[in-house]
Amino acid sequence: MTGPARTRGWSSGLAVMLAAIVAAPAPAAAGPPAAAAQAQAAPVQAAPVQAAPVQAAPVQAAPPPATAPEDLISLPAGAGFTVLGRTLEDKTGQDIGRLVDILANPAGQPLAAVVDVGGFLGVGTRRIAVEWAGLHFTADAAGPHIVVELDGDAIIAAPEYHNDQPAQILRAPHAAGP
Amino acid sequence: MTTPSRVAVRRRAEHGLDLLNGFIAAVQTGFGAFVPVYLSGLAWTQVQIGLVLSAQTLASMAFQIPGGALVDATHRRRSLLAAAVAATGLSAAILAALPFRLPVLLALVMQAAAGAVLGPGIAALSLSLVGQRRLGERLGRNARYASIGSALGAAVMGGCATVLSERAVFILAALLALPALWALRHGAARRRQGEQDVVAPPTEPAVSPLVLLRDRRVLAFVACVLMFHLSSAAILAVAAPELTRVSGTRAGLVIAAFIIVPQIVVAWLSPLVGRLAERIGRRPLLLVGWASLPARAILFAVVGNPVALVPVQVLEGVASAAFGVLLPLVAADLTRGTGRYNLCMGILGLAGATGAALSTTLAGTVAEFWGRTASFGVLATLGLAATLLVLAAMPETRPAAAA
Repeated sequence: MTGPARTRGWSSGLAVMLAAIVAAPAPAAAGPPAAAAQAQAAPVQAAPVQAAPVQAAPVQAAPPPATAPEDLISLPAGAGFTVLGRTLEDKTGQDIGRLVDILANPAGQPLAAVVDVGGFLGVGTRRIAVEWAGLHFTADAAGPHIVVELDGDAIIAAPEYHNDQPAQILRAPHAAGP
Repeated sequence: MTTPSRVAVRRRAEHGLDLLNGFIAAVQTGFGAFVPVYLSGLAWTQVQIGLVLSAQTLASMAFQIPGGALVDATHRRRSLLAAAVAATGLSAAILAALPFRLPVLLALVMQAAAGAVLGPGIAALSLSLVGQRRLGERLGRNARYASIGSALGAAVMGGCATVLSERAVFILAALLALPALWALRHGAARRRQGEQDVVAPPTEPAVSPLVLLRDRRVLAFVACVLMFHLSSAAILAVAAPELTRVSGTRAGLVIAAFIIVPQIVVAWLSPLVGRLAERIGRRPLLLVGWASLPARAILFAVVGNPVALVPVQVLEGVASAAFGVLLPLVAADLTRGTGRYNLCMGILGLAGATGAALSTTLAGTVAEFWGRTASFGVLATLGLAATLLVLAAMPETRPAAAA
């Protein structure tokens, strides 16, 4: 009977492939998107940040002209972190949503963060806009945090943000001090 | 005449098929719900996520008919299904390991193709296992175990996502393909001896697909399936953002209840629907299932309190149970002896996917211009039209066989 043997063959093949793929390094995978998001989210930078060479960068046939050191800004590890996709917390520390977009004015200054709030497994989420100055960026042992000093219900009940319509941005208490 | 060992073999095969439905549903739940959340967490922009999800939807629609035709035509149905299960697991593994644009796109397209084969394939497996007369009850069991698998899968994967990471969800989904393959080994019994297999074996020439499309009953059923999804797919999508707004931080629990209640109803009712379909016929059950659509839409329009709406989701459960059992059952009735069962399933799958896509677009547009209540009104009207269509155009398809 070839049936069970064939199914066994598929099972073993799948198991071997799974083991190989899962063992592949995942941190390297986060490199390119993270670099792009850092360049996108870094507020008010005069010169674009050139990320330090990432181990996942492809090998090029003809090396481009080298960037002179005076054109680069060195970013120490932990000095910058990705913003897009990061969860937002309310003043009680509860997760209320993910930051999915940034609104900037024509001068390039960030005005608001667009956040996907509420819902369950992606069903029933709403988009709301929170003013950028109301986001508090902190970092602790668990990693970077973005906190909004408002009640979770108030944030989730804010007017919905739509791409092509005038936005209503929720005010939030600004971070105190420099 | 069945010997005791033959009965035992069949019972083991039926358990295998139960478990196969459960595990497949669990794996596919991971793909449905967690992909956008996972990709958001990896700083994918909403545009990028929207593109791959649209590609997945389009691929799923495009593969429905070829997938069904392939299951009809193949000599090695079991290997095909095993390949489809393995492909689904592999897609999950690729999502976990290589979350870049091209691998994710390919993985989602591969998963869509596998899904287009698995749907008809499991129905065909059920038919060849139990024969035409017991098919209703068997399909009811399929729906029950799929619902249980989906709910448990969502719960375990949700826990995984909270405790570990979203990436772990896809590793788990990939690992679940292994017990699914094991269940397939037991569930895919060989053709029953001594009784005519109503799905003509591929060695005999099957009728031309055009014969299928010229059958008025098939066309009527395609229209009914399309209208079903057209009137029901968008209800939760239209209602959920407002429910989230009024529920605040409890929104997650409310929406979870909205999703769980129909699953429970489906798990509970489906075998009963299958048995009733054999006893009293398909038509009464079609009418009950389809009639719950306008009722649900109207209740959503009228009731604003999220907690009061949770029981209304029982109606969705009733509709899903009826639809989930009757679609493969009526398809089997309509294609009896033609050898085109899975092609018919593919056509119906395409009709359903088209209806669902049109539903969300239509309801979204109406909601944007005229508000949510108007949107529910449109969906209710479509549901009513769907019910009238079933009443007018769908004959009773239960074979007039000896009891």
